[in-house]
Amino acid sequence: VNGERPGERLAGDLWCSDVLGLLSDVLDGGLAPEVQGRVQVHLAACDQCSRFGDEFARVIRDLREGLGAAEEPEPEVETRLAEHLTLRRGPGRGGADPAAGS
Amino acid sequence: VSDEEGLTGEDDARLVARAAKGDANAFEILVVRHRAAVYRFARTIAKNASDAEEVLQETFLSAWRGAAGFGGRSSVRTWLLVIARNGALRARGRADARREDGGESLVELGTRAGFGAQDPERIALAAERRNALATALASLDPEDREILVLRDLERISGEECADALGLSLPAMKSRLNRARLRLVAAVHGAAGNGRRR
Repeated sequence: VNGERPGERLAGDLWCSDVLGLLSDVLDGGLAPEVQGRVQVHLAACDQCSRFGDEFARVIRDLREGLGAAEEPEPEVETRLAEHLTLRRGPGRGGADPAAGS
Repeated sequence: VSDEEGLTGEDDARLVARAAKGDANAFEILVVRHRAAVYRFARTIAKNASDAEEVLQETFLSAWRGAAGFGGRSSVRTWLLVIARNGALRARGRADARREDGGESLVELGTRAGFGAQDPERIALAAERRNALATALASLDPEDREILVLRDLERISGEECADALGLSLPAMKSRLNRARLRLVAAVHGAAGNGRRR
């Protein structure tokens, strides 16, 4: 953490770029208490990180709430899906996990 | 699907177990329950609507045929989304979705997203924000869209998301954070463009 970084501030033993890299962990609650504490110190001291952190959280909250539930496919898509499954389903006793590997 | 057999209240894992024994009614309930999420995810990662529909159909067909292979390590929805992802990647002709994500520094990425701006552009109206978000999400690379859909729309856990994408948990977190920053950058750019019009 020695030296200077253009456009960044050092607070809470973290540079602004460190905080940018931790924003999702802050939002999702995945940080160790000690790191969370340092982030809070940085945010309290750094106006641009505090402002940007609020904006970041707002956009992700809007994403979760605004685009939350998936809409049902169009009726014709549902109809074709049902037809496809009816035609090709067969007895259905394979066993291999289709989610394994790609 | 009728509820004559009391199937609609069954949890997903039991329905998969019944489907594995050839119970088509149980499987139909799973289809109805999860087709919207699978289709949205398919639309997120497939090249176009036609490919997405094919992914939707093949996902459920594969799930039917492979129901006995469901091990219960993840939720049934995550299992279906992984099947969809595998199908979409095959459709796109790519066996491996892994991508180097080194290039842009976090500060460069953050600056594009409005970090350091004195007066960040804000989109005030809810409807306008929703449209801007949808546009911003659609403008991202498929790899960014898929992780945002999995974590922030489908709300699957970090561990399951990492598993679904074939990533370690730290790698998934890093990719998610960059995808979110790119989303904020895209929203920020859309807001700026809107104001300049």
